[in-house]
Amino acid sequence: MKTKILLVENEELILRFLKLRLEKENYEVNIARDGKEAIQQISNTQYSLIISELTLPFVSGFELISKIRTESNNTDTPILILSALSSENTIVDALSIGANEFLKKPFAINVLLTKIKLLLGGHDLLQAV
Amino acid sequence: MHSLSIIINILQEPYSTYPIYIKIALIGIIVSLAIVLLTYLEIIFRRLESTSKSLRINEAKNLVTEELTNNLMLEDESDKKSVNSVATKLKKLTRGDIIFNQIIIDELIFFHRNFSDNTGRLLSRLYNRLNLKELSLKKLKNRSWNVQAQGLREIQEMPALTLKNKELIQPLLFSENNDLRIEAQAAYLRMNREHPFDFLNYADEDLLDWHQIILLEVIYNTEDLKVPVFSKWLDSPNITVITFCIKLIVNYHQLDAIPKLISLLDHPKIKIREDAVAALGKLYAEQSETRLVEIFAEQVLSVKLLIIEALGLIASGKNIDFLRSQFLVDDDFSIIKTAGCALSNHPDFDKNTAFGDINQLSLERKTIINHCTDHLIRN
Repeated sequence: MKTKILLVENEELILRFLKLRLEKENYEVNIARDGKEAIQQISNTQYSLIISELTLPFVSGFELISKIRTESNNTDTPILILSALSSENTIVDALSIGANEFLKKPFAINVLLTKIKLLLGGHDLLQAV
Repeated sequence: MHSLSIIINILQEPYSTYPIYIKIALIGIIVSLAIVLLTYLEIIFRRLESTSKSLRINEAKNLVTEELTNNLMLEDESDKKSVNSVATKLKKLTRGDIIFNQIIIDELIFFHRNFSDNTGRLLSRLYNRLNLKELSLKKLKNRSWNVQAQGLREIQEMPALTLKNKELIQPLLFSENNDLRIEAQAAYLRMNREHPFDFLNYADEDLLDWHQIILLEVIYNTEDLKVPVFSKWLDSPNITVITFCIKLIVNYHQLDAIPKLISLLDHPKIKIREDAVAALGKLYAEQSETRLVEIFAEQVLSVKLLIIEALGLIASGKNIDFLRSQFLVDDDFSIIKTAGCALSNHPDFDKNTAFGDINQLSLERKTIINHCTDHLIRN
């Protein structure tokens, strides 16, 4: 069974490209274009990884992380933040409310793929325990 | 011509016996109806035209996105060959069409802003391969300032400039248009990494606050920028250049600038004195303490408060009596509060012994000093 990833991104071009790129890596990718759509997705489906931007319409990335960590089926799912908001405070805030990793835009695809593998590996290990 | 006059005659025939004002009114009605009809036709035509244009643009966008993502960025082993093949395909698609080329530039810039490393390099290479640099540079010569600004944004996003091209930016650096000038200065900073701040030598126009924020953002986010000694601009006749350089001195912790900052304490402009005092505090310039205390009495309130704050930051202990006297003697609440916080910043300060018996203090001063020394409150 393919690993399920939820990709939350409001920029259509990045969303389309990353979906293609992750599917090429054999992941099953669901997409959400805003926070509301993402909340709907996480309430219905169990994901192995959630990749999200912080600046999202309707529900911000920070609110989304809190929701994931408190009110969803995905409380243990690793969250990777992919954002152009990259001040120290933003990174600390995102990590302290429950994100597992932070990648600043612009980013290298290979770095993203490696971080995904690490997060999924850790997650699989945790599940095995 | 003959047939037209026949038609007019036929149309006139039934009304030939009517009074002249009826005839004029009829002509008016006919002309009005014709104008309304033509206006509707014009609206319909324009709507159709814009719909077809947006359809064309959408189609072009999809084609460009597909070409870039599927054939260039998606492949791990994309290299010069892939760039050449994508460039050939895109050239065939565009056939020199300006709208199409602009779509490619916009998408390349968008992806370049979001992806670094190999992907970023491939995108820059494609931009050069498609000669899009020439299109961007052409915009710098356009009469309209917003087209010029667009060109500047494009060339700084896609690093493709040579020294010759930099000369094209020079005149825009001193444009009277604020938006254009700031774009030009940001582009100059990004592209002239050896001497990025040279434009400050000739900056006659004010560097507005929002303008400084944009420049600082560019400076902090540009890698390999050669940082000069900013104190050389502290004598600038342009006050905003001085305030901008003070910010940079603090940010880059240029301690060699301290003597020049001290000399700015006598500057006739309050804003400069404020910024210099604040900078000396942030740089923990112990050698400035004596001068700060000397000039204190003749300053306006805003500078006085900043001097007290600076002494609190430096906290060498040499001026604890001065701060204590400001705290105890001055009547102004803001001075008392700032002095209280400056005192509490000193590592050896003990509120219970600093004023003899703390209970001898007035209720206001006691409350302030308790507030300033409360570690749970950030002052």
